[in-house]
Amino acid sequence: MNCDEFRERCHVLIDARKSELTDEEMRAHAGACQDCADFRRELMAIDVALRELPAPVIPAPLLDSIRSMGQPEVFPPPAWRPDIVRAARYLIPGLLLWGVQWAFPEDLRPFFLAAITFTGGYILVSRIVRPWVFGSPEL
Amino acid sequence: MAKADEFNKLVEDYAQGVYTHAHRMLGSREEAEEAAQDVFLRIHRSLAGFQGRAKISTWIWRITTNVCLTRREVQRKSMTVPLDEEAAARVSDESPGPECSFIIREERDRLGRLIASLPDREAAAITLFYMEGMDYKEIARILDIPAGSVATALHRGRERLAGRLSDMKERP
Ligand SMILES: [Zn+2]
Repeated sequence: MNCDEFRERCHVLIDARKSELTDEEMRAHAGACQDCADFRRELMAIDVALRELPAPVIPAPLLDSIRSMGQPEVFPPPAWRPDIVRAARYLIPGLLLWGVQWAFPEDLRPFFLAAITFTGGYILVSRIVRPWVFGSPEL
Repeated sequence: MAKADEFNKLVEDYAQGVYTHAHRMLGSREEAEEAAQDVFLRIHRSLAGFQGRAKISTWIWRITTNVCLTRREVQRKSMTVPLDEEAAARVSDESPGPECSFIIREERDRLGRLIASLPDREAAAITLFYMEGMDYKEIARILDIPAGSVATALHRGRERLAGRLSDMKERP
């Protein structure tokens, strides 16, 4: 066993959380090679230190502020409410526009109606139906 | 509401761990506080979309690691908080256990800061291995790298820490 092999295996043992050298070959190398024995001692020391490193306690104000993120009012309101508000915002001008047809001569009304129906339909689908089905893009 | 309950449970289960993780990766209390806030904001925002394909713990540690790595990138660019031995040697404000003597406490503080001074992958691997007690496989899933690379990062990180700590002992 060469030094590189020995050192690699030391790491693997530590990774497996084993502190003893169970391997006969490794024990022989550690006995014969002072550098590697020192290397292993240093690794073991750092391993123990890392294991025993105390966790810094989370500051109470931070914990409170994280907890407050979970308050129900912080969660977005149910999806139907903004949708209804949005629908009303388009419905009212739509109705007013619908009323405007009576200002047109009778033979021009169908063209006007077709135009506002097309525009209204497009707005309805793009602003209300699509976000409602596929989720609002701004969320 | 179910999602709110779920979020509250995650806060109770993971807030301390996320904070510790961030503290190790970033080396300062202020940075760790901001990172932990950021992590839980993200969890809060995307909990509804969490599919449960991955284990929830894997998902949380991945978010935590990514938030910390991004902050380290910003630290490096702004250079206001140098991630080196100098930063590592500064006296920490962590409260020590009553049982440990001043010298051990100093050494522990140094070690905590030394982890933050490691290269990204090594710092992440060491933190996940020691703080969360994970194995190669779990760490590989979180960092999205092969298990072999996790082992390499862990070994290099450990050797670097051992080297730097013994350097410090020689010139305190
Ligand atoms: Zn040797």
